[in-house]
Amino acid sequence: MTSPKKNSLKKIFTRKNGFVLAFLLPAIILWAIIYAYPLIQIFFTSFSKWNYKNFLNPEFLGWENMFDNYIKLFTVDRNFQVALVNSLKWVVLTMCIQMPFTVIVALVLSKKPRGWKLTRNVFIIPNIISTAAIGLIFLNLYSPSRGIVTEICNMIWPGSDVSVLANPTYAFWGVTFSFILFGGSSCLLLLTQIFSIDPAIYEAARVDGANERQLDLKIRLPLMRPMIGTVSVMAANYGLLLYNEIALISQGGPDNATYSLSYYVYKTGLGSTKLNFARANAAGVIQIILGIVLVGLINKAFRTDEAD
Amino acid sequence: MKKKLISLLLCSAMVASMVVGCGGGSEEAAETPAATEEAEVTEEADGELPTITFVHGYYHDESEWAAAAEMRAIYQEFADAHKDEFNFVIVADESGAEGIYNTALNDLGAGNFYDIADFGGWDITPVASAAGAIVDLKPYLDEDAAFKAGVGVCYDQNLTADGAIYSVREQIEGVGFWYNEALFAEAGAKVPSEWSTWADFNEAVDALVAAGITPFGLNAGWPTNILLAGYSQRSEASRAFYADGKAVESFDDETFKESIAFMQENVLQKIDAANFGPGGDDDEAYRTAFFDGETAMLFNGVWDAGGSVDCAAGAENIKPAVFPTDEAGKSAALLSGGCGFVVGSHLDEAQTAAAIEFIKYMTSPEIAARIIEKGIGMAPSTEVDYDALAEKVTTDDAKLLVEACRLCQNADYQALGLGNTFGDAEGEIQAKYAGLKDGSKTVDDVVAELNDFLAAAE
Amino acid sequence: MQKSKSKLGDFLSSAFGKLIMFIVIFISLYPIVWVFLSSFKENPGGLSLPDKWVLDGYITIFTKLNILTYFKNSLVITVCSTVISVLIVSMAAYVSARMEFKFKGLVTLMFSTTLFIPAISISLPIYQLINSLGLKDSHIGVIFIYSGLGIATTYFILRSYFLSIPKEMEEAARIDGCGYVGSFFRIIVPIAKPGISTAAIMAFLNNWNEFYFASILLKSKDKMTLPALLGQFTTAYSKNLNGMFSAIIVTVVPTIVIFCLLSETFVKSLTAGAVKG
Repeated sequence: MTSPKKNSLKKIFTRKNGFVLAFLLPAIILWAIIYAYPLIQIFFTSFSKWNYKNFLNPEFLGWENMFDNYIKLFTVDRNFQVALVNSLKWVVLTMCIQMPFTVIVALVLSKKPRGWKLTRNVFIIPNIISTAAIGLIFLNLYSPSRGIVTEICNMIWPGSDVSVLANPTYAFWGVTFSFILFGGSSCLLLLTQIFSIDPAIYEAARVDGANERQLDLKIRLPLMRPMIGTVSVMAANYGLLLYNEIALISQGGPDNATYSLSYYVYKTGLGSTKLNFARANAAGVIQIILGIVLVGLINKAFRTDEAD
Repeated sequence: MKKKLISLLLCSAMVASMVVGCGGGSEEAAETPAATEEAEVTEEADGELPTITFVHGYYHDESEWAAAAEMRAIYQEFADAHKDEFNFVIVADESGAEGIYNTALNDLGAGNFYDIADFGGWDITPVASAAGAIVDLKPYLDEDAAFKAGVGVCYDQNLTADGAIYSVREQIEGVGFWYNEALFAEAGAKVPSEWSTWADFNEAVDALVAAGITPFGLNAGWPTNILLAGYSQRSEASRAFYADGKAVESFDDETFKESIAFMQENVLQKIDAANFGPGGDDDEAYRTAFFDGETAMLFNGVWDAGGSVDCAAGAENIKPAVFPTDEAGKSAALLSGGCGFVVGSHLDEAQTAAAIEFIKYMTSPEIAARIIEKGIGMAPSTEVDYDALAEKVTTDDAKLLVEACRLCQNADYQALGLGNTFGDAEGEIQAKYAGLKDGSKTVDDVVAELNDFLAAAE
Repeated sequence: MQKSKSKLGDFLSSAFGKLIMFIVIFISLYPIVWVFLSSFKENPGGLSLPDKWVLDGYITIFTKLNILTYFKNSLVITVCSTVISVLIVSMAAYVSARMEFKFKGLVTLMFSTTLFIPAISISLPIYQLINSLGLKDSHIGVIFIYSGLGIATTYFILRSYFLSIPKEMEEAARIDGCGYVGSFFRIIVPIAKPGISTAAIMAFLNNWNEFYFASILLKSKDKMTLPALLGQFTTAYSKNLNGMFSAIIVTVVPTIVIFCLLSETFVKSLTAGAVKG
């Protein structure tokens, strides 16, 4: 075609390949710097020996022992096992509590009863304020001396003196309820999906004698499915990565009953005097794989794979 | 083909421009803070002088924590006194000792280290010494008897297996406990100063409980760890196991099991759930309850003399004590130096000399006396004359502090705190208190679980 | 008979609706209301209303701590990083929504992996990177990191929005002589405004509340952001309960106020962006 000399910058940009690259590159560079390099480091060092003794030089474990860190996680590391089970529990709980609750709220609000806008907006507030603040608030709510949970329990069962964060079972639920009911932004997304349903469909159903409950079950729910899928992915991912609430409220305790995978990664690496980054990164790799599997499963269940 | 080449060129140009852009920005950003720091210091001093930067965690406003302001004054006086010899730049880290530790870790990864910093108990030495980033202070301590006396217990406590000392501190955590004399009198219990063995402790606790007085507030952490560490000093065998804590390979030890059984039956199960907090930085209900006059004993360090000021329990009732042992009349206290001043190995000779000079200043008898007098804490120095200090101080809480320090210093047995002894296992031990308290865990369960933890941590 | 039954059903379902709305409002507001009331108490905590309204905590915050500086830092960092990330990611999202090229699936996969990476795992390499660029303790470093942190969310929101725009738009523009770049900035960006503002608002909120990287990357007091200040309260100020409760309110209230003022725009843009997805 034309000689390179005549190729002005403008012309290069009009060329499709050049354009594609030029538009993709900044994002890919940003991704590469912030995520790809750490990702590669996490992956490779999970097959190494890397702790306080060789902080500057991780050593590959050798082909024969390369899975040592992973094997230790599943065979001897009780804290990891607790963390894995807890994180999976939190994923399941977001699916079983947050999602149905949010869907019900969305269905109720979709009828536009009095005060629906206020309710919708108030519901988002816990989602838009910093988790640092939420964590601190719940830490104080659960405090036996100044919180209200102990006081309320004492009203119902005098002398029970429940200390939420001192009991392994209560503490797990304490952490759970610091985030699980807050589905405000999910609810908003669901609402918009409901509002985008063609009113003609309802009319047809009403003519056939369907009542509101039937409309909910037979029309709204099925049509919301793709959005429920998207929102589920977000919620499940939040459950899987749970960290801030634990770091601020329970610090993994009591008796390590509230460890999550992210908190385990912290406690094993940066948060330990042994600085066992290799093991922490092995747990990180497992967490990433779990995340990808989870999204695959949810997408399959809700068939939300591709919008196009 | 040409198209590809052009797009390739284009993208490499973009990468290059980005890198240049970032690089340019970085130089500017890196230069500015350094420049301002230097500007402050070199105003009077000659630019040729060696410069070292000291980072500490006492950033608090005086109204928030008076000790922080006093510490800054102590540092500044040193800088002023030596301004003709070197530039001593003092930087307060806004995130405290924990922030200094985290920064040091991150910096180590990038191949840097502080000139000199006060780690305030956060132990950076294993990783930093393995990376060769810090100076062994032992030669300097060995050549100067006064310096060695000034660092007191730190010398032995921080001596590593390889015979190096990477850190010393100007103040240590002296820990015994506090009690409320009035509540003991009310219950008709023998006060701690009259105790001869731990049997007296048990009797006193029972007497307090019988009188309807909560003997102590605890949580799944700090105060309970203090008591466990104190009880672990009761006998020769127990002290031996405890002293070897850093290298512990199994918790299946008779004395350790006895200690855990004591914690379960004679301590944790003597109080109700309301007096047992979840632990954590924020959980200070056990302190509040004591100074409000609701509990009879408080397991906390000498520095809590300050808590007695204007407290509801009545300052005159608050008394310090150290732990009994099972050897009649012998007492035990916890004295933990832990990680304090650490000097970077990248410094040149003149800078290192300045850093050592600073540590000598900080551990001198004058500063030690000042640290105690001002109610900041306890000094490690064996040279401190507590009787003279007791005469000198005027306020009630300072008198209490001096008395508490004197008791710790004169205790027959002195040991490190639980955290300094067991490292990460401390967190695992304290995690078991709740289960011990409600009976869901037996002593054997605890030992088995702790051994699992040790196995998992290699 | 039939009719009365359905009336009862209506009544029940509206009562159920009321109950649900009450629960939602209660669970969303009680924590904040409780902290708000507590912040005025002499001894914060408990169920009762304050006996005596004390303003000590707020006085401390506004006099001793330079709250406005923190606020300004948060604003500068959040606005800059939001603009950069939305600009850069929208370009990539557009290309992947519109153009056919090799490795298209790979690009989407690459961005989606970032959803599952815990911040804790990447903190060490990121710190080293920022350090070696000499951007430690600088706003530029934090802006740089924030620009990339939310890459996946922004990408997916924008991509699904671009997919919903009819292709004929650009084809017409190109016939009129617009290049690829021209048609993107002149035609697509204006059309995609709702989608872009959704992504921008999401990014803004995430960056405004980000706490972990701010606390490890920023060291000096005059550079810290609001959430990093809250982090300090858990340790340094734990004895000053009034201060802590007031600090929670002070960090949370601006977000809520901004949200209330913009709630209609927010909701509109969020819905506009989402429906198409």
